[in-house]
Amino acid sequence: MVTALIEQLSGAWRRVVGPASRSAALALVLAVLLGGAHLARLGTDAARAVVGVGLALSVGVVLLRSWLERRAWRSARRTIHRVLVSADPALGRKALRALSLAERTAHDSSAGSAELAALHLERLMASVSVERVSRAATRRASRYRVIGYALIGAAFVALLVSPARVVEGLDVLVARHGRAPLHLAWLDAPQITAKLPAYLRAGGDRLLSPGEPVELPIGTQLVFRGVPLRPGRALRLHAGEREVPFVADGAGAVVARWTVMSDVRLRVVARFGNTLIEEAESLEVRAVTDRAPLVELESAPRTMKLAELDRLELRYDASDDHGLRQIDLVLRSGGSEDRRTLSRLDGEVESDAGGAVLQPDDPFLRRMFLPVVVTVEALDNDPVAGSKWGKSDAITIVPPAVGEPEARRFAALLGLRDELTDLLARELDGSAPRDHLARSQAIPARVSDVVDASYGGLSVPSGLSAFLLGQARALARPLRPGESLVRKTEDVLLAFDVALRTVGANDARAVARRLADVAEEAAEGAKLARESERQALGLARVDVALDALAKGARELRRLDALGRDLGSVAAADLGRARSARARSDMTHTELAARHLAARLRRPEPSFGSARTGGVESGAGSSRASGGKASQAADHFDQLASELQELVRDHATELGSVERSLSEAEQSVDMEALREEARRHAEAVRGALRALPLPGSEPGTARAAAALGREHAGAMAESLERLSFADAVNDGRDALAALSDAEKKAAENPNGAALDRSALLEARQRLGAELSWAEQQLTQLKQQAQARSRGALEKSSRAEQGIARRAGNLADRGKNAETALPEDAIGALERAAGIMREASRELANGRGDRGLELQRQAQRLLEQASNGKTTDSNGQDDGRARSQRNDPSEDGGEGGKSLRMGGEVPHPGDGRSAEDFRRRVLQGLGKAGSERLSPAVKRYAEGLLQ
Amino acid sequence: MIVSRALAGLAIMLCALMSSSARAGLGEPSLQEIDDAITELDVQRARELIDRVTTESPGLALLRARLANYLGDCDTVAAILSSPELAAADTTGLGDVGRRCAGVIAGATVIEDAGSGIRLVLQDDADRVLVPFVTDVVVRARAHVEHDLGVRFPRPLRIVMVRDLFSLSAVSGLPLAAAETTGTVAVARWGRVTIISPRATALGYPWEDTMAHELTHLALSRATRDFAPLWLQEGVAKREETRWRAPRPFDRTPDPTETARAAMLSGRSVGIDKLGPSIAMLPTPEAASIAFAEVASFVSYWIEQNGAPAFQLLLDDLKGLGSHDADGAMRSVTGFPLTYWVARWRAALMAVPPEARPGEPPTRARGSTPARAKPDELARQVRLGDLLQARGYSAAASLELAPALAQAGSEAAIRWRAAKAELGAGRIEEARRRLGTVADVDAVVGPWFALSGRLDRTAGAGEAAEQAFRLGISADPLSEEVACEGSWAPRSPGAIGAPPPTVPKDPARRALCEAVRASSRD
Repeated sequence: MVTALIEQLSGAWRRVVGPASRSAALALVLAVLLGGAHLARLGTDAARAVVGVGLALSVGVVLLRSWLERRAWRSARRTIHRVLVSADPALGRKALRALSLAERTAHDSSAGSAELAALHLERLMASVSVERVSRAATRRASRYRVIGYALIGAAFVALLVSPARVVEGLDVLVARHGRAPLHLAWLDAPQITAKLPAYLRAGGDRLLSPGEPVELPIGTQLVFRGVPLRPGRALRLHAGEREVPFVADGAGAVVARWTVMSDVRLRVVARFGNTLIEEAESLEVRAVTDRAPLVELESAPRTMKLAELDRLELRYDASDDHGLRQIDLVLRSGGSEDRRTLSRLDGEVESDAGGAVLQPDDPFLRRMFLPVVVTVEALDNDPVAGSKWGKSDAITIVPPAVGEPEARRFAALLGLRDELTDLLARELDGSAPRDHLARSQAIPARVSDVVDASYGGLSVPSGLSAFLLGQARALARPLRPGESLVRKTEDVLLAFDVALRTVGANDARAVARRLADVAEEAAEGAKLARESERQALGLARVDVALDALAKGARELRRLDALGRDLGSVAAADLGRARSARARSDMTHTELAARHLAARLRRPEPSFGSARTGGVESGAGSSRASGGKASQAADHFDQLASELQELVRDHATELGSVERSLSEAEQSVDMEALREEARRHAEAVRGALRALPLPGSEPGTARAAAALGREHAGAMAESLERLSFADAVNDGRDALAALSDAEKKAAENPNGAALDRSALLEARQRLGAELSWAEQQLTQLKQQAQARSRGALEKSSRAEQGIARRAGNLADRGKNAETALPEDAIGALERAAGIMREASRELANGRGDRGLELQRQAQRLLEQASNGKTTDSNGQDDGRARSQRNDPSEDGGEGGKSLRMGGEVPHPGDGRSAEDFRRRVLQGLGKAGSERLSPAVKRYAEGLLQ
Repeated sequence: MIVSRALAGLAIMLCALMSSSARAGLGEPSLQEIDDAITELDVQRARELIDRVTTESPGLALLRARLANYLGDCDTVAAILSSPELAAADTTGLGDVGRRCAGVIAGATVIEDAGSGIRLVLQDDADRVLVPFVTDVVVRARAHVEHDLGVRFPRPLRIVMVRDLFSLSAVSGLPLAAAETTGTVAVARWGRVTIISPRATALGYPWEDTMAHELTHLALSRATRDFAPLWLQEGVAKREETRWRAPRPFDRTPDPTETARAAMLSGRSVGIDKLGPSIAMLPTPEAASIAFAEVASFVSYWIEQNGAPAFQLLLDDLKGLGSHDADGAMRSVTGFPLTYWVARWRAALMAVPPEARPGEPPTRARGSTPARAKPDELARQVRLGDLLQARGYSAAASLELAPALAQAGSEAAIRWRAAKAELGAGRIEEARRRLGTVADVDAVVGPWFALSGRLDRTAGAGEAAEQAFRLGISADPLSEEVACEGSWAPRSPGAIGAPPPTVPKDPARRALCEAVRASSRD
């Protein structure tokens, strides 16, 4: 009964209070959630923890309360306490006491009657007014509702103030590993543009859209632009560990830039403390690397011997994905590298093809003793990752032992001397054939063979060659009255001997200097092995260098007395270096090698300039004599010096005549002609009007007529400048072109589309103007020659003197001791004759003709001058040649293989003459160059003859 | 009792003082003591003295470097003097010598002959064949110099044989230009003799006498603690260079006294005490020759006048006085200064009956080269002869050399060529005639003596042949004719298949001959 009453009371209470309290609890949770979202937006761990804890607490409170409620309603005492005490405190307390009594009596009969106590409780409970309880419940529910409404109101305020912030906050709140789970859009109308690197010259920007992967060259700048959907967010462009902030562009939008350096996936994100909320879409970029240039070298890879190399033509084809900047020919040997620029490009050309030639006497090749690796390398124009070199396969050139070419050449010359010795011996014992025909055919032909041969790329210097050929010629000529056959042979033998010794000494010095480099390389290798961790490399360098040194020393010993001496010194010190190397004593290996290098760089005889020792002991050795066995080489060198001086003097005189004529022409007063020349120029232009303008199909009559018009226009301009020589040249070219046009028009009358009568008239008028110009030019020249007559007469006398000197030299060149080759004597004699004729022309005031003859004579003089026996033609001093060939000095791509100076190869010099001719033709196609004068001019004139 | 106790205490105190005094007396050696020991070549004592020094100083480090140089340890010299501080303190150029010397010595052949007391360093291992000859000369010359100068060399005696003037300069510190100008072939410095290998010169040089000359310099340095003035150094060395052996032809050619007299009369005299830092640094070889002649003549005159004991006393006094000025020692020994003796010597020279007109070289004592011989023509004939001989045309070579011999009969170099051509042609008697005798030639030329020895041996004159061979080796040991006792291997094309040339029986000479032939074939 009591229980039913209590349940009735609790039911009345719970029906009213329960919904209100639950609503209040839910409102609390909601308020905490929404309020916490704002706090969580801070993104810091602390903020997120606080919010999390708050939310957990609020939920916990709700759940706890629910559990307590359920437990409370199961207990009569708690129910009375909660319901009745709240509704009627006095009655409630009575009821509680009655309940206590009833419970006590139920367990303890001594406390009283259980039935009475129960009855008492029942009566009390029955007296409770349900209505009163309901009223109390209503009051309690009202309070809950107020609280609930307040919380809900607060939550709604938090939501309504900035719903996005709540979303962001909640997103941040539940983020894991710094990433919020919910993707949000941040930019309105986002725009992504790609700006490719400028060096790619790819034109305008490229518009991208997220989604599909995109390939972009490294260095591309990506620009993300858009209007923020919600202001105040810290927007970033994010990829991996890197992010770039968006900045305002001043027009309401924000922008971020990203340079592509590697593969990335880019997203727009908003940063909240340590947490990012990403946009759903991303841009996947695959970075495209600028590849190194590809270079193909014809016939590479391969290996060849320098001794068998006549000429190595290198043809390359280089290409790059974006552009080439430079092409180099690279020669490497051991630790040495020689880089020669073949081509400098603007960085926009994507392919380049060309060639270069390596001669066996190339200074680098001749200096090297290790295999030389030849490659062509191309440099691209990548400024982003740095320009890269691409290299071709290699051609490996295996050089001969140091000094081997010189030793071979010396042996060949020695063979000649031995043949002459044999000849002399037979003559002395009377067994030699006395017929000169046999001699003239045998020895001179042998000499010619030897001096024309190449010895591993080394030739016989021209001066020495001329000397030997001259001596051979002297040997072959018939005996003069009173001349002794034996004496003549002796003279020639001794002349050969002296020349041979000169060559031997010069070669020994040159080879010794190169061997010094080898010794230095051995020393460097030993140092490397001793001082660094790269011991194996150092030891390898030592061993290779010591082997090369041994071979070189052997070759050096074949080079006459000085070579034997220096070679013996090298062998001795090499022995010390090897001995130390065998003991792995790198310190002493280095010391011995450095001493040898220093010694060989001073390639003097072991006993220096002192010829005999013994001063310390006071007893000098006897010498056979202090005289010279033959002075033929000295006399020849004297003649060669005089010839060189003659060439220089004649060149000076030639220049003097050129200057005189030029100055005389410039001194003629032509101002009186200016007005008349202008009228004629106008007449020329008038004659052209009917002719077609350029632009017609090449090869047609119209094109030829247009060309004629161009030339005639140039003629008119020359006339106005009073440059009659140019005007005459242009006029002749114009007439030639018009003739050509007329011919083509006649051949194809239907297709000409040309007014032939206008063409004819133009020709006639132009012809008349040309005649006038020629007439003026002739008068001008006559006036100039009259003015320069004094100077020309002076030059005539000088030319006569030089002609006499040339004749004398030719006569001396026929003598045995100063014998010159046949062709040199011929050139000298022809030059002398032409100079005499030039002298006559100059004396008669015909400056132009005289000048022309002088140029012919100069060309012949240069052909006759071969240099001295001691000249090496630059073969012995690789460094000097190297400097001359330095591309930085000859300035420009055309200078790849041009040498400075005015030397002109003899037409019979085969390939060198052919090379020279080709270079001249290339050079003539360009603007005037200092490099091409004066020899090229003369050569070109020679070509025209 | 009290007295006895007092005496005992006094005795202990005295002992302590004496002990202290004794320690103080032993003390650390001074740097000067070490320096003197090194100068006197007493490297063992110098080492001991250095070991006793406990206080390091730059001066001591420099002495260590100097000692290392005397021991031939150039690496140590270079290492010690590589420090900037010591390099700055090194005023003698020792560091530079050490560095350059190290390059010459590195990996060199070292031959220690304990029995002979010689340590020989060969820059060129090919010179190993010369070692027996060098050792023999050094042993004999050293003994004689020790006797004459009254000084004993420490053992081992250090000799460095270098390959060329460049290396001689590096090891000795002598400027290369000076060595080249005067043709210096050996230097005694830093406690060793540095001598150029005979293979450095085309025709050899008198290396035996040069060795004796340089040994004398070392002995003088030891005897006088390097206080001997230059004239004394060179004069005594010149005197000693031939005294260690039996007289040989051309020993006093040209005679120093005659040369000195001629120089004095012609005004080309250098002067006894005006030699500068070194004769090798005189401006010309001629000046060097005159200087040598003058000092040799003066020293011989002085010893002749004062006797050998006085000479040894002079050396002792120079060492004792510690001055390069010889006047004090001269006065001490003879009672007169140097100028007095120079004046007496000059007077004695002038008193010698003139054999030549003033200003002219002494009359040729030997041979008979006509005064009008044309050098160019001679050179031409000799060269043609050489070319023909080298190709095996001995008869033709003989024809070419005949007029040269007629022009310059006293030139031993022409005579042996002519004789060789004759021998090549198989004409022994004509070869003998063309070679002539010692009286016909004017200088020692190795191959001449080698051919002479060969012909003497053929004639049965074994002793004369042996003497000739020895003379040849003393002048030009690496000439094939000398090394192989007058025989040579023909290298002409026609000689292929010819019987092998003979070789000497003596093992040392056989090795020398074979080495020379092997070298020629390279």
